[in-house]
Amino acid sequence: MSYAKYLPASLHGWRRSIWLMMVMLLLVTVLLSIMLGPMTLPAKQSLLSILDKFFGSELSQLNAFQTAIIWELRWPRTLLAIFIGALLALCGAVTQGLFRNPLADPGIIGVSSGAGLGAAIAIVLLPASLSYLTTPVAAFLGGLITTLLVYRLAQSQNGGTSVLILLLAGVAVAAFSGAIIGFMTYIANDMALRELTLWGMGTLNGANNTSIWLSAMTCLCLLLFYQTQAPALNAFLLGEAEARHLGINVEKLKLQLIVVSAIGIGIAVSATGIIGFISLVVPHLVRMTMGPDHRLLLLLSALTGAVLLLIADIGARVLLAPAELPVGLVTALIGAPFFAFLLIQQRKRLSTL
Amino acid sequence: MLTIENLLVKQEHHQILNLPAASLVSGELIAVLGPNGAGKSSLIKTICGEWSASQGQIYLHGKSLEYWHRQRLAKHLGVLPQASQLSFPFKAQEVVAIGATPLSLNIREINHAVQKWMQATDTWQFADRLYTSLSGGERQRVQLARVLLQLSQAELAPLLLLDEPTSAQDLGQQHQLLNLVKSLCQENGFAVISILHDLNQASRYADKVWLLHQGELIAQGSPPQVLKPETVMKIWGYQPELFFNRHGQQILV
Repeated sequence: MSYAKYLPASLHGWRRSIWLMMVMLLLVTVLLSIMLGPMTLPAKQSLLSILDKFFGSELSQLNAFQTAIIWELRWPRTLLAIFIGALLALCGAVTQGLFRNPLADPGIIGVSSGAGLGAAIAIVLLPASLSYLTTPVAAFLGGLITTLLVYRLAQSQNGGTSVLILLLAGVAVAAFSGAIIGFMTYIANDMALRELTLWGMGTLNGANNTSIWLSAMTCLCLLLFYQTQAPALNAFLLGEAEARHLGINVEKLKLQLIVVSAIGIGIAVSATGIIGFISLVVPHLVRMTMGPDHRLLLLLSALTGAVLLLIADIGARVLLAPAELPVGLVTALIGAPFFAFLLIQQRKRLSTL
Repeated sequence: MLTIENLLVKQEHHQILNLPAASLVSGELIAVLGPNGAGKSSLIKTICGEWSASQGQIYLHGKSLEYWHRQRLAKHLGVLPQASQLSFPFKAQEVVAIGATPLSLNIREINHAVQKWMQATDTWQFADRLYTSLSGGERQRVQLARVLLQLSQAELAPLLLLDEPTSAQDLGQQHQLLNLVKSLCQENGFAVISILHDLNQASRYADKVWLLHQGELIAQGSPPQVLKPETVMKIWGYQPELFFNRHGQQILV
């Protein structure tokens, strides 16, 4: 058994250096994320502080308060942004492949709203002491049910999925979960209400050890699993029948991808609330520059997603400092115009549907 | 190598295909003919397993298709669909390389095979263009190259199913494509079942014709045996004139 076919394809020209560029970019963004905020810290000292932490040296001249800002506030948040960004971008890339449709973003087709609905029910109705467990599970179930429902709805006669039905299903699901979440807000007690509101806009504020570890592990597992499915996903883009003729167990693949992506979205939504558009924008950017080959797309999307969500979070902290914007608002501000741009670009193709 | 026994396909209690017995041997090119709605595409879909038969068996190399291992079957049974919907910007050569999914080839071997089959199908000149920017005929030939790559590691003689391979090609390319398929039959032992529309193309290239009408296999045999003017009149509803060329092959006009 050779593993070569799961590895990214070889690249030519400037694209060869893409890995190096993306990793460098990620490291720079991490440093910026540590430095920037309502209180700006000097770059060199922040860098030294990171070195101190990992190598036990004492080079940094930051005072105790500044060190606390870095390690108590910004570092957990940075980690969470990296993992959630990667997770969202990965799930977006795979969902688009699964629906064979570049517009099938978990946010737009309603999967995130479904997961959000599950999480909202858990926050309000289930005991708060168990919320670390109940919220992710409920979000996963909400996401799973929605994906299955939307997939069933959008499947057309010729084996493709209809964009029109996908988008309309998204509208229906968003309206439905909006109504239920509204009702939950109405009956919630003060503490649940506060949590619900903040979380509904998408925020990395709640970074704690549990959420960081959970999202990190999920991210890693999903990446490994998806990467082994990359050749099958490529074949799947040709069409379901074609993939079957290429020896792929299509029914099993679909079910696996739906369940695993629902887990990913569920975990992401339960950790940070609904952060839109990362899952739509990132795979698109990667496809536009590197092509749609999943062996490359998945890993690069994860990296790019991490960088983009970090940048959005830095923006959320800096734009209105000392006040802080929910990061979901920032990604929506970047993402919604991008979505409009995609629509304009594909207007000709879409208008025939 | 392919044997069909008592095949019956129903959909919603409506019989769409009835094939009591049919078979082909390696090296043979079969043209499936018949008017629209005769069940030609249904036949292809049933053989490749996309539709399941309500009754009957299909054997490939003596083994019922149900018992073939998924990946091994993929190496021996290739299907060229009539049209493929692909909305992602793959390059033509990347589409062909996807044909290697069930195979065990390393990257260099894949690149080599991609070039070989793209040259054979006259598509190598636009290997780096986006599939989505190609014309219908070009896409079909790229897909053919992909299917041929998929069959390139077959241990037994492979079976190739073609659903109207010439529909989007210009005249020269139609003949080029059928010549390629013919030579694969003669030199590599391929067995081919192809849906065709042009009766004279069928006469020229096919070893045998399967004539379908309203889901029934009403005639099979060599093209001159099956394609008689009165049969054409009965099935397609027009009276052709019969000519013979200097090689003694019949031409229906």
